[in-house]
Parts: sequence; structure tokens; C-alpha cells
Amino acid sequence: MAAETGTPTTLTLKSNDDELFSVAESAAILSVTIRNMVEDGCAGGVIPLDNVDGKTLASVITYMNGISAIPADEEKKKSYRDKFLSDKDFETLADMVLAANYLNMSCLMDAVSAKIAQVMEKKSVGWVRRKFGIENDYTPEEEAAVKEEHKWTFEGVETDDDN
Amino acid sequence: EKIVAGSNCNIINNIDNDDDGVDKISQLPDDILVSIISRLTVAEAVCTSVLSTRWLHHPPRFSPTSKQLQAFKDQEEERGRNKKGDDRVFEEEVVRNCASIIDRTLDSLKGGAALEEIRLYLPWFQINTWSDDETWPIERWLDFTFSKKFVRTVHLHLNSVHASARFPIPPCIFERNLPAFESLKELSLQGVDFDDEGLRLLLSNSVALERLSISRNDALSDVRISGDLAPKLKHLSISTCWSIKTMEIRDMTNLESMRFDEFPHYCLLVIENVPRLVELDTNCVEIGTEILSRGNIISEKLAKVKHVELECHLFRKTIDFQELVRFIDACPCLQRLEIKFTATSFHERYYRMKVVNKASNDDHPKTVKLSGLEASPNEVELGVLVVGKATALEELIVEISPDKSYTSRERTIARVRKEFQPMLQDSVNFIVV
Repeated sequence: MAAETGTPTTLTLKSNDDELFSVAESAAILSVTIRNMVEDGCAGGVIPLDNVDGKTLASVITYMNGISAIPADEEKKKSYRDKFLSDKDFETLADMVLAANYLNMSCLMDAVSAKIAQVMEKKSVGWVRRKFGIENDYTPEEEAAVKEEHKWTFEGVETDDDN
Repeated sequence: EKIVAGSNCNIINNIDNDDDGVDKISQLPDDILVSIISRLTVAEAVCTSVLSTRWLHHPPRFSPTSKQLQAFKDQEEERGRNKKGDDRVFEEEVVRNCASIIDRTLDSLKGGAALEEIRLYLPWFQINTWSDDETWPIERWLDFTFSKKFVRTVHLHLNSVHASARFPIPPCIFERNLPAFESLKELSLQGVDFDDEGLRLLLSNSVALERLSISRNDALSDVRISGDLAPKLKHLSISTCWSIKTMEIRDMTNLESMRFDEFPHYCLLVIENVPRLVELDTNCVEIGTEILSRGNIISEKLAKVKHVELECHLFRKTIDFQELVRFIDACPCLQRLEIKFTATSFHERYYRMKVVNKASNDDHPKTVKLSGLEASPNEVELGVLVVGKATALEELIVEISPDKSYTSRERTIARVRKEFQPMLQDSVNFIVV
């Protein structure tokens, strides 16, 4: 590794649609996947990330740079994460949670999972289905059976017509 | 579409999949779905199984590395409370379901050795048919909870209106040297029966305990808590324990707050040497009176207090508010006194005392604030007594209860002015709000 040279080491990451990104090694190693590559000495040239597209990778790198610039202060990191995720649509969040999973970045994965879960809190089944475009593939009988089994859980959620 | 929490509006507007119809969330891999689901409450997590077949087999799963576990939200505790008649059977099913969900959740944690916070809230129920030969799930939950080495916070709340459906546990549960005793700082047990010896064992074993809350325990009778037993305890709350006959709290040098709600009025209370006590919260007249009238004897801090906030309601004639006056007399350094008269419902707390500051050499209150005043005879009489004693008074603030209609407010204000104005010297700043 070239960390001893004094200048910050830069890595080049390649998305699955062949976009190239430069990122400081110190920020990139937030990803355990990348850190392992660096430690194994396979980070010399371009690091191909076959499961991440350019748009998502750009976002993830913004996050890496942002969060690694914050000193060890969990409060500040949390508020950065909240702000970072606040303007993302679900499409982007889903891509990002996949990327975070692939890159093995637990802090981003946790934050995005929590963000998605937050949308589902206290919502009816019908509402969640519509919101996420989930197709109900139960037969009416099956659905009734599942609902019957768990009917107690439906108290206290918002009801609507197709719940 | 209904939107529950206002704070969620922005997120909801951003995360909207209505347009393209692609079900991206169901295509996420299993471990990501689990990561999302595990952030919901257990009930919400189970609910997701109805979404589609894709979701059926996920809930509820928690990761073995989780640090926090909460099964049911504390507000879910109460949701069955208003059930009647036919719903009783449903009630029982609900509780069994919840219990089994909690069991399965514990299974999925595979030991959960990393847990730091465990909060299990079993919803309120009214069943009384849980037969004696059935195993109480609570034993397993307690075993699970107290076997965790890093656990700091434990809430176990089980509820029933019928004593027969309580979850009794043998006192010996706290006898063994359980791993959680070393790390446990906050413990709240509700509807969990253990007796006097159980409490003694619990306290003497939990060497790090700072916050203890016991509620709906019918087995406690003679409660004795001392500094030897629980040296680090800072906050103590005991409520709805109707079998307590005597309670002694002695030499608790770190105790800062006490809360006693729904206490038997015949309980013999002894409180001695709690020098750091600054907060008392009780709706029991006898306890409130006892502590208030001996305030400076009980706690050194009370003798030096210069700012007191009191909440009380003077609903029943039997309440001798002279005791309040005696308490005020017992605080020789008082500079600022605030009394808030609360709504006159029987269930309102009777006293809430908050000592805000300490250390001063002044003799008499300079500021008195009375709020929530409806100008009932009791309130006015107490107010007049307090103000009459405040010979160094510089400011009197009276806030009329906001519940009053405009005309009766006017009348109340007139009454307050008539009662208080003649007592006040010209230099006193008298404000009626």
C-alpha cells in the first residue's frame, strides 16, 4: 500500500455501465468490500464494481466523502445521513441499499433500511401495496387465511378501503 | 390516502412508487428485506406477511447481533383495554399470539448475546382463563433477559385487570448469579409478581442499578430499600401495588427522584436520610403529605432549596392543604414558589413537586406563581396563606385556568384581584394572566 508516501491515495472505481470515479482511499474503505481489495493489494488499477450503476455509485461516493469528513461524532454523522437521504426517492433508496449491501457498508445499509421501514410504519397493507407497487398474488382465500392468522396485528394501523 | 404522522409527509411524497408500477421492494434480496422488517415493531413486521407471498416467510426475524429488541410498542400495551363481551375470546387469542411472536422473536435472535436493550410489552388483556397448568411464557422471557451480559435496559410489561391472569414468578428467579446483574442500569417490571425477598435479592444482586420501576405487583407487602441494598439507585418508582403495607426507604444517598402512584392509603411509610432527593411525584395524599411536611428532615437538599414547583389539585375537602403550607415553611431558603392547580379530576396527580435549585441564604420567597387557578375556595385559601407568609414578596403571578370561558374568566380575575390585592404592598409586582 502507498499510504506512506504522504499524499492521499486515490482509488479508481468503475461502475457496471463503465463510468469511472476517483475517490480517496480513506473514504472508499468505508466499504468493507473495497477495504478487503485494498488490503489484498488488488486495488492497483481500476476497481470494477459489477453490481452498481454509475448514478448510484456517484451517490454512494458523495456519501463516502461526506461521512468520512466528519470526525468521530455519532450525532453529527447521523444528522448528515438523515440530510443525505432526505431528498432521495424510493427508486434511488432501493438502488442504494443494494449497493450498500454489495459494498458491505453497514452504516449506509442501516440508514437506508430504517428510512424505508419508516415509510411502512403504522400503514395498512393496502397502503403499503400501493405505495411500493406490490402485487397481491394471494388468492382471496389465501389472503383471508393469512389475515385471520395475524388479525390482531391489524389493530392500530391506518385502515383504508382495500385493507 | 391517509397519512398518519405529519412528520412523515415529506418522505411519503418522495418515496412514491405509484407511477411506474414496478415492485422494486419485493425484488430486494432476503437479507435486505429482513434488515428493513426488523426495524418495524413486531406487530408491524408480522403485518407485512399479508402483502404478498414474497413477504410471507420473513417476519419476524431479528439479527443475532442486534443491540436492541422491542416487542410491541408501549402504546400497544393499552390497545385492548376497551374490549368488551365477545371480544374477550379474541383478546385471549391476541395475547397468545403476541406471546408466541415474542417467543419466535427470541428464537430468531439465536441467543442475542449482544443485546443492550430489551423491551417486551405484552398488550393489555382481560382474560382470566389462562389455566394453572400452562407454562407462563414470562419465565422464559425473564431467563432470556437476565442471561444477557451487556444488557443495560430491561422493560417487561405485562398487563391484566385480573389478578388470576397475572404472570406470577417464583421469587428464586433472582437468586442465581445472573449475567445481567453486572450491567443492568434500568429495570422496569409491570405485572410481574415477585415478593419482598425477591425484591431484596434483585436489589442486592443488581449492583449497577440506577433506575427501578415496579408496577402492578400484588406480592410485595413489606418493602425495605436501603443504601446498603441499592447504593447506586437514583430513581425509584412504585405504583399500583395494592398489597404493600409498609415501605421503608432509608439512607439512599444517591436517590434523586421518587414516584408513588396508586398506593394503598393504609401503607406505613418511613423515609429517612435521602439527602439528594429533588423530585417527588405522587397521587397518594398520605405519602405526599408525609414527605412534604417533613421535607427538610428527609432531604438535606430540601432545606436549601430556593425554587419549588408544586402541582396539586384541591378537589376533596379531606385534603388538608395546611400540609402544603407546612412544607413551604420547611423550606427556609425558598425564593421562588410556583403552584399549579391542575384539573379537578380524581385521577389527576395530587402533588407533583419539583425542587429546581439549591443553596441560598435568603429567608422568604420573592416570587410566587399560582397557575391553573379556578378560584375555588380551597385554592384561594391556600393562595392567601402562602402569599401571607411571603413577607419579602417582590412578585406575584397568577395564571387563571385556561378551561374557563371568557365571562367566568373575567369573574375569576376579579375575584383573584379582590382576594390578593389588599394583602400586597405597593412595591409588589402583581400580574394576573
